Amino acid sequence: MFFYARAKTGSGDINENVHLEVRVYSPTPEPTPASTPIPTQVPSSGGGGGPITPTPAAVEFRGYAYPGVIVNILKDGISAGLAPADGTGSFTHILSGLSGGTYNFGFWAKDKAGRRSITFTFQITLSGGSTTKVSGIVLPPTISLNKFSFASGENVIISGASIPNSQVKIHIESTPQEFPASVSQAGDYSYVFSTATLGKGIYMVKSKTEILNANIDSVFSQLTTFGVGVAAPKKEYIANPDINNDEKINLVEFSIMAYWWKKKLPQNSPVDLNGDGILNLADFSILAFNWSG
Amino acid sequence: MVKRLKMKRFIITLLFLSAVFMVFNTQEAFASKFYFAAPDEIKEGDNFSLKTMFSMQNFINALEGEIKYNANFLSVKSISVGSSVVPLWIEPPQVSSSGIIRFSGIIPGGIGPTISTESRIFIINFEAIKSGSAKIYFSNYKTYLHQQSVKEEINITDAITINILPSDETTATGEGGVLLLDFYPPEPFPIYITKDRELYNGNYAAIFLAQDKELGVDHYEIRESFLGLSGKWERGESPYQLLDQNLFSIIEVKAVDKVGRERIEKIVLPRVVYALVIALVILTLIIIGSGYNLLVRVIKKSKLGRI
Repeated sequence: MFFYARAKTGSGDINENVHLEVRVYSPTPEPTPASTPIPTQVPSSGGGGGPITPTPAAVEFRGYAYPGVIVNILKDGISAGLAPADGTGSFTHILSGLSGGTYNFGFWAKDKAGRRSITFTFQITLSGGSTTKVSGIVLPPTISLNKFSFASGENVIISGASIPNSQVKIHIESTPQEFPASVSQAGDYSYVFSTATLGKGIYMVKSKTEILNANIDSVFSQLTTFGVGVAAPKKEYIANPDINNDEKINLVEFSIMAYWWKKKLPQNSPVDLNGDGILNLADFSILAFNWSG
Repeated sequence: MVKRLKMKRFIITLLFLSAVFMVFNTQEAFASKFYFAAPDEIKEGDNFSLKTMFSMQNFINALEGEIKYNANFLSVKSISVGSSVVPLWIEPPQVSSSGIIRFSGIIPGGIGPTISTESRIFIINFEAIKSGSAKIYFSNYKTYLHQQSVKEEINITDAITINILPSDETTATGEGGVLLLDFYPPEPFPIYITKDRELYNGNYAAIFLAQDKELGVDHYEIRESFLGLSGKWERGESPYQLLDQNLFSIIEVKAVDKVGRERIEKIVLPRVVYALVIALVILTLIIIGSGYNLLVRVIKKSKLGRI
């Protein structure tokens, strides 16, 4: 099976070439999925019928990240493994002993400057007794700016990390162009953009990676904002989502927040991530965005 | 002159309406959608499954809503969350009041139309209790985009009408029982022990979450065994305030799925290990000490015997 997908972001941008290749292998020589066992009814009242011994599923991931980093792999939001990326940015990882069913898998990494990528996620259904191979996973680039407020005509230096020898395409919202930047062997990219063509205002910038030989794009990076001729955009209030300060944002934070769901919050409660005085789905959305597993 | 003015107004109105039409159609083209997948027609007394689905157009990471149904015609037998697109439920889908199912959950790291645009949220197993037309629809729904600044997505929804035909003979399946198929126990899962002032006034708590890919987890049971010696299974939920706040117990959590299959995970804290090691050392010293005293007595007796 080969899947070609287009991903649309919240701001309406379309990534034309996000490819994931999915192949399913059974233990038999023929590369076809194992036949589905004839279902045996397991009555809700229990008892009756012989047990079926479930055959586990496995999944193998192949993809690209920044060279020399550790890729964090999430399975349904829980940390499931770490995969080192080699000098070319390639990584592989196998998860085995899984049940058949549908899983959300996520991938993220920190570059050598400590910038974190957004999590690249997808949902996939695994069959018991089969190994599913997923390739074409491309981590989106990291992105940062030299500063956040610029006088008109001043240069913005946009930089980050990506896959070695690929090309990064930089989008500045409200301009129709894409600005290309080459990624070095060390996995770094940088682009100098003159604000002379921009009017006074606040602008958003993001980037994505194109692997040149394979014609595969990543999804977009995080959005970063800067101002031209105006003060740096006011940062939206967000409390530190790492509520227990263990440098992870995971099930522990989720559980602490869930504990306070529909309860009256004390003043300045750390679970009120957007500072509006109440705990609601918006706070959990912030948690989900910053999730590390 | 008057005719020209009227024509001008007509053209402006037409252009305005066209713009409005295009805006709403454009939004609809880009909006994610909640919808159902269910049979159109069933008989009174039948059980059927209704899939609640989500068609993604953007990357999202949180969703909530209500499903409203006519409780005069339909009765909820069970709800399955196995293989849902939502791995973490703030409020797992359940009947909150007559005719309303409420749900709320997050997707850590977000999810988008990378491989497929269609995802299942959960399955409701209904019994049709009376013939007639039963409407089922979404209400108070909301999704959040997966991005740094919190932003709600505009969604659209579909409603569904189930036509329940009168039964011409008894058609109940096993006294209204629902067929449940589940081949696998819940997945292995981690247990975290945490102490945070935001949770149970800073007392130690166990945090855990298991996934069951078919029908979902039904409940959890927890056992705290002091030094691994004894303990009783108690039903509980995460986060679970530990009874043994001194942490000398081995903590076991059992996840039970909807057909009774179990997965037990265990955490042995360092204090338990230290306590057991100390106990073993003391016991060893006592045995050695007793053995030495016995040996000394035996030697003395044998010397007296010779004299």
